Amino acid sequence: MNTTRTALLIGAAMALAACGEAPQVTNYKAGTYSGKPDTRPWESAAYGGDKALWESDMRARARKQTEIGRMPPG
Amino acid sequence: MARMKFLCDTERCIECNGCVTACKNEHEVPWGIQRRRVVTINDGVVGQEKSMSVACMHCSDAPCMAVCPVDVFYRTEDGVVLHDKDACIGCGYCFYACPFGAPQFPQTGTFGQRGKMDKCTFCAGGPEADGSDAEFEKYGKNRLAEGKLPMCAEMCSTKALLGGDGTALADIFRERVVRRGGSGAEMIGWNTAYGSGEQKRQQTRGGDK
Amino acid sequence: MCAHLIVTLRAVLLAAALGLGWMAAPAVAAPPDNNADVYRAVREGTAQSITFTAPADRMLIQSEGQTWRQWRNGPITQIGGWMLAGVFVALVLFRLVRGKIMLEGPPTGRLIQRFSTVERMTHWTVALSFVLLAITGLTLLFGKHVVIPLIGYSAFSWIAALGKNVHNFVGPLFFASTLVMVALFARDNVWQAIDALWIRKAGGLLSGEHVPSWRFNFGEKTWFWIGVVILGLLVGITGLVLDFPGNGQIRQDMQLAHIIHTSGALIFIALSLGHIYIGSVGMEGSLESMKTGYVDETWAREHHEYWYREAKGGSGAAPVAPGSARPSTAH
Ligand code: HEM
Ligand code: SF4
Ligand code: SF4
Repeated sequence: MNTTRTALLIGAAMALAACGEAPQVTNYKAGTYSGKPDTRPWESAAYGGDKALWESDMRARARKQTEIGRMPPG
Repeated sequence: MARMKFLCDTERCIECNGCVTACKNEHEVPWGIQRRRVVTINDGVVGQEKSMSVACMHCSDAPCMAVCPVDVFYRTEDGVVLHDKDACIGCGYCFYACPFGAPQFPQTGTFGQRGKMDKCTFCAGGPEADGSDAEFEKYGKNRLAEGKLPMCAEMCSTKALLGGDGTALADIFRERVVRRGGSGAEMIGWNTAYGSGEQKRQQTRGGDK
Repeated sequence: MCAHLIVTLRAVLLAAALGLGWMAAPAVAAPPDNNADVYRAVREGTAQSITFTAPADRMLIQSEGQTWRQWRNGPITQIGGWMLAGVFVALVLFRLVRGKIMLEGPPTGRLIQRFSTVERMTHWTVALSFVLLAITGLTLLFGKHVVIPLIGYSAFSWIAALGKNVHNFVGPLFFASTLVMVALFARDNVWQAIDALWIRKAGGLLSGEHVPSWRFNFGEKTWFWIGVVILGLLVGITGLVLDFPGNGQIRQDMQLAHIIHTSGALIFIALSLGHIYIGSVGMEGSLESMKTGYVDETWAREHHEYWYREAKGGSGAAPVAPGSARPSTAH
């Protein structure tokens, strides 16, 4: 019977919905990429894929945000 | 491996709103949207008045990511939480969930018509080709791809707002706190943004790097 | 919307939240430091000053968002999903055990009007909008687990965008037509003494016995009051709170409205499965009555005996059922 079959299909989908429930936790794991296709920052024209260079540049730049060490000690 | 974070030093923030303006200008953020805001706590209470600049903190266990029905968010190796505006349906769930009020919408939302969600990208653009016009139009500049840190932090006049690798920021902050005799030692928002996720990970994975 | 309504609504929602066991954010011991008051203010989510009017409110950190996330992604998705699956399995079992409920006597060919045109149009407006809302709403809630793994998030976003817009525009229609339906059907759904017999015999659902009733039996009345009236209005009003932001409701109000909306909707859908089953493939002749407005006299006599007698011009109150309470004259 057509209606019964449709109803069964809907029901099966619902059952799957309940079973397919994944724990929705989005923990960041250091250094892992999760999700969509996108170019990495070091794959840009400026870095041409040199990840190590990009990382050392970022570190240097982060350190520039402190004036301590650039001032005379006191 | 960098883990990008923001940190605002409430002992230094003078509520000049320079970060807000810099961000709006750098990314030509749409009218009515402000990716960063400065909140003044205990305004007018002598000795207790502190200001803090806040935007998307790029959480470790990001609530926005967890609730988005279309799964438009993604996270880079460096912990930056980005999203794909093309797929966003403007349901507003990320705004309900976000602890920092970061996601915003260009429309008022009558009949749920909010438009595409907009939030801070840590100056890392979106899925479009880095530095392309399409990327700029939707998300603004991609400074990370140029080897620069977020505009708001880099131009902060008192260096209250810091952006970049979390360990580097924590080091800078610790040096400061020691110098000023231990005051203002809290990293407001850090536990909310980075606490549970990274602590949980350390418990379950034995603290891998 | 007037501010007054919002304030009242907020109070009602708050009361409901307490009932749900809304959790307060866990308190953290204050660090020994001269800024303790500042951080306490932040943790409590107190409104602060801000120079520009930011679209988000003055709260620096809202911990309620995490609570909302845990409710929606946790019990609502999980219990809700299992509940719908469970109801479906129960209906399949019922069908296998009981089969389709057929007429016992031969149809007479004589028809009695059961529903007026206005009643039928209202019913089908409510029903059609309900089904659209249920499908689109479930898409938002379960699509991430069921559809995205199959077709990917980009393709799903088209479905979700369409679904969301259908949901948000059909919602007010559902609400309005529900109000009309309540006005039309309330009178025949008030308690009548014979309903006690229906409860005692569990409607004859398993035994196959025909329990007499007036126009609506107790099963239909339950669906009317718990489903249409209580859940319909609850889901409808919270839906309107979500659908028209910027009328005074803040994020926390919308989280609460969403929790009530979605929990109510899932229960509503579960109940509706039973109603849809018995109104279509589960019972011979019931779909005809809402399609055409007319039923065969045999159907009327077997399923709604008092109503049938009354419609035929009698008093309706023939003492057919052994030990039944005296039929009411409230009609
Ligand atoms: C007056 C009627 C209604 C209105 C105005 C309304 C409005 C809304 C709104 C605004 C949302 C938030 C998502 C979005 O923006 O798309 C929503 C979600 C939802 N609604 Fe409704 N709705 C109504 C009736 C219903 C009914 C009758 C059902 C079920 C039969 C239903 C089931 C749902 C579900 C399951 C969700 C999804 C929740 C989630 O993804 O977490 N709604 N509704
Ligand atoms: S601050 Fe808000 S928008 Fe940014 S990652 Fe955290 S939850 Fe998402
Ligand atoms: S508004 Fe867009 S990004 Fe936010 S939860 Fe909805 S679909 Fe996802």
